Parts: sequence; C-alpha cells; structure tokens
Amino acid sequence: MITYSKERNLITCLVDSSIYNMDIIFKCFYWYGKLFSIEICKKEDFVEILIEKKEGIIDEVMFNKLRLKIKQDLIDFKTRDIVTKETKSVRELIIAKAFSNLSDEEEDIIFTSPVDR
Amino acid sequence: MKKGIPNKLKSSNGYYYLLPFRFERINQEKEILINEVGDYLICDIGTASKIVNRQIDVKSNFFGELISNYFISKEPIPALLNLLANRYRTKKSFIDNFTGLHIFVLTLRCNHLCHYCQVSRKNEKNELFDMQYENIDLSINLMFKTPSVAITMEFQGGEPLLVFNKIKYSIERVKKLNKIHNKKINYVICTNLTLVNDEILTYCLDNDILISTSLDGPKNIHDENRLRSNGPSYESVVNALNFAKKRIPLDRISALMTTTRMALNHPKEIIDSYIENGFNHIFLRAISPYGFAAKNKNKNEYETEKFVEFFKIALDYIIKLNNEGVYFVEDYTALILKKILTPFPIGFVDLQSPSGLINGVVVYNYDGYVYASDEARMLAESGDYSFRLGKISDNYNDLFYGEKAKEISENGSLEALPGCSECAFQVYCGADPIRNYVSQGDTVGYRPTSNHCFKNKSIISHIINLINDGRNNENEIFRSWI
Ligand code: SF4
Repeated sequence: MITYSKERNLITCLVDSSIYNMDIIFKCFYWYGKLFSIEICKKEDFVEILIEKKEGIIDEVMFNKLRLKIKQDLIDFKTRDIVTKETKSVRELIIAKAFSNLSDEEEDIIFTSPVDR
Repeated sequence: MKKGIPNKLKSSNGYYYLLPFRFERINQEKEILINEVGDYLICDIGTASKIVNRQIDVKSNFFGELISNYFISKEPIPALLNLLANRYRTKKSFIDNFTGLHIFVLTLRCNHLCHYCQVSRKNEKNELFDMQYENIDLSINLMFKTPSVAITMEFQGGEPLLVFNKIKYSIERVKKLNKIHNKKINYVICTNLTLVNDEILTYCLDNDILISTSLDGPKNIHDENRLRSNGPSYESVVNALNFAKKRIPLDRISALMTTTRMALNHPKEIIDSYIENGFNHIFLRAISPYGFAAKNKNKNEYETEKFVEFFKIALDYIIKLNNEGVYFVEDYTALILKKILTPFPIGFVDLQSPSGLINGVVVYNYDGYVYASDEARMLAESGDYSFRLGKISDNYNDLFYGEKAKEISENGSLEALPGCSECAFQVYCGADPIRNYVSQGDTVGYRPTSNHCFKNKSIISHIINLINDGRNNENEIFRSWI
C-alpha cells in the first residue's frame, strides 16, 4: 500500500515482507536516494518505507508517477532477486571454472589508451 | 534435489532452469536481458518476469533463443557450462595480462596554459619538475617486470617533447633491454605538437611511435581552451599537424578532445574540424574533475545530462556522415560496441571490472613515485596521495601486490558494488574507484548521484536503442567500427 500525506510532504509505503524480502527493498529504494530521503523500518509482517523529498514538495502528479514507479520497481527487483538466488550456484561454478586451469594459449591483449585504438 | 542445484519449475508445458542474467528497461516498451558473458536479447517489457515465473512456452522460438543464448537451460547445470566458463574467461582475460599500459611522466612542465589542465602543469622553464635519469632507469626495470607480453609505453606530461632527449634515452634503453625480455612494445607520445621538428618526427617514424595530440575543435573553441604563453595555439597545432602528416602516416597520429562548457553547444563543428584535419575518428571525452579543471569551474563544470545530450547529437551527426559515405568513428561508442557485439575484452582501462587501476595501467611520475593511474597522479598534484603506490625505487612486488595495491583494488569490481551488482550494463561498464573517491568521498561511491554511472548508463542504453532501432543503418555502421 502506498499513501501520501500532503501535510507531511511524505509518501508512506507498506510492503508485505512475506512477498518482498529486505534485500529487494534495500536494492529497490537505493535508487531513490538522489531526490528522496528514505527511511526503512521493519515491522511485524510488513516493512514501512518513508519517502521524503530532499528539496521541494511532492505534489499529486509526482505522487501518482512515483506510486506506479515504486510498484514496478518492486516487481523488477523481486525478479532480479529470484534470478540472483536461483542462479547463485551455477554462477559460482562458471566463475570457478573460468579461473581454474588457465591455459597458456591465451591471446595477447594489447592494452591501449583511447589514442591508439 | 541436490543441495545448491537451482529450482526446476514447470513452465506451461515443460521445465527449465534459470542461468545468470540481468535486465534493464531501455525505453517505454523494451527491456534488455544481458547474460554473464555479455550476450543480449531485446524483448518486450515484462519478459524477464515471464522467464522467472516459468511462463515461456517451451515450444516457442523464443524458448530456443533463450536456451541458445544461455539465459535458461533444460539442465540444472547446462551441458555447455565449460563453453560459458571459457567465454567468461575470455571476457576477463585482461586480468591475466596484468599491467599493459605504462605511463611515463618525464616532466610536468608545459608550454601551454590550458584552463582545464587536469595534471596541473608547471612553468616550462622549471626543470625541478623533470624525472631524473636514475628514476627513468628504475621505472623501466619495473615496467619489464610486468607479466604482460604486450605493453604500451606512453609518454605524457606536461609536454613531454620539452624533454625529448629523455624520451629518446628511455626508448633506446627499452630497446636494448628488450633484447632479453622480448616483449611487444608500443610507444605513444602525448604531445600538443607545437615543438615537433624533423629530428623528432624522423625518430617517431623510425621507431613506429604513435603520436597523440589534443585538438578541441575549430579555432574559436580550441583557442578558448588551449592557450600558449605567447597567445592562441590553434594555428601552430594545425601547422605542426600538417608538417607531421607529411612525414609520418596519418594512422600513426591521433587526437583527443576535451568537452568544455563551450564545446557543449558545438558538436557538429567539432566533428567537422576533425574531418578537415584529416582524422577519421574522435573520442568525445567529458572533462574530468582534476587539477585546474576542478578549480576553473565556470568554464569546465556542467551537468552530465548536458554532456550526454551533446554526445547523442554528435553521434547522430556521425551516423549521418557515415550514411553519406564518410567513414568516421566515435571511439567511446566503438569501445562499448566491442563489449556488446564481440566476445573479447577491451584494453581501455575506464571500462573494466576489476578496474584498470594497477591491473591495466600505472604511472611512473616525475616526482619519483608510482601511481595507480593517470588520475591518481593528477590527484597528487592537489596534495592527495591516496593512490600513490610507493617509490619508483621500491620493490616490484611491494608496489604492485602490496598492501596499498590491495587497498586500492578493494572497491574496483562492479560485481560487488552497490547498485552495480544487479545492473544489466555491468558487463559493458567499468569501475572507477578514483572518480568515486574524488566526486563522492569514498571509493565505493553512490550510484544514484554518480556522474560516471549516469553517463555510462545513458550512453550504453542509447547505443543499444540505436542498435535495436537500426532505422539509420546503425547496425551496419556500428559493425564497421569494431
Ligand atoms: S556504474 Fe551504473 S551503469 Fe555502470 S554497472 Fe554500475 S550501475 Fe550500471
């Protein structure tokens, strides 16, 4: 649930913690830190996120845009979280295999500054 | 299910497993999926979510595309895992080679007075800012200790041609020692060209030395930025360029531009001036916040949004020129394209993870110290020695693998940085801990307000949108650049 208090110039976001874990919430709201000051509080079975604009006010138009963006971002970060966690072992395996058993046949990579492309 | 094996979930009519990939929206309708080795698929928004929720029809062509591009697998451990690991190793193979670019700052003196001088040049008469011969010898010894078979020895300044005798001394010594070391060595002199003469050009030609100069665009822009002590420099640079072109092949001469606030309004004029001067490529380079550039804010400070706008207009113009039959390349785009469209890594240190500090580049400075990058020595001129590795006379292992080197390298991997770790563009981007440190106070940085992040994210997604759109022949043009 996402609500907006005009008087307090504050958006409050209540997120069900059985759907969105703390990793998702932190990663999602990290990106809001340029314009907003973010406070994240863990409650019983939900997480409360307080979003305050660092400068200026949050008007109705901005709130409506933000509401849509937050919902979408939460879904995107949940999707990313699933990929990260489901693929953790295979990713580790790829990296471990990549850096084990280095052969001598590597091609020479010539380091260049932008001037000698 | 074995521990550690990912979940197999049933899709509409079959099973599949996820492989590591990241995704990002690139416009209102499309998102890009990018896997661990940089292969990408551009799809409708919501596709990543469908993949994760097993909503992909296993009989569809798209399912086949996802399998063949390593986004999903029918097996928990894909049969071609070794191939994927090999591709990953190739992408990161720049690490094996270790330091390839060795910058020698033989002097900090310069005969120019550029307002954006990022190295904080010194008066051209003050020889206190020249490297001692003893330190040149020791630096060359350190350079030869690098495991890299192919190395670039780049002379920077100040204006290195003020000490051409020391450049010659260095190269002759390297040639002599290389009879034992047998490395592939490229030489580059970064010069404003105003001091070139027959002797210098003949030496460059005989030793296959690449000349890199600075050209900021047409006369009015160049002269606004790059003054000599006796007046404007454009005429002398262009005359020197023409003189040099008669003696050495043009492909051994290149130029770099620096985008000042004034330049932002003249992308087309800048490109035209490069073409007029015979160049077929340009590196559209934003100004960096070091040295005098950081002090002279009125001429040099601008919002990164403005640079990105300038870059896009310039790139559009370059694409138009290519469509009209003029082969002309934007170098930063070409570097990113190599990362997007080929399985190979690039040597450009600003677009690497782990970062190019020490790994890709080091600087042997006139002051007798070794620095982790060009920016590190620029910072030292403002009294901040955070990225100084030690003395040129120190032991190679202590300098390149010691505590200081470890500390500097700690926050140099995008894979482990907040914001970057889940960014789809990670494979195409690069870590810049020194820029983070200078602009945001620590080497970790903070992506939401990072200019480096904003610039790279905007430029990479713009290039991807151009590839996807392709209405102006971008695919063909871009492929001809790499
Ligand atoms: S710096 Fe920005 S664009 Fe680059 S990987 Fe990190 S988050 Fe992505």
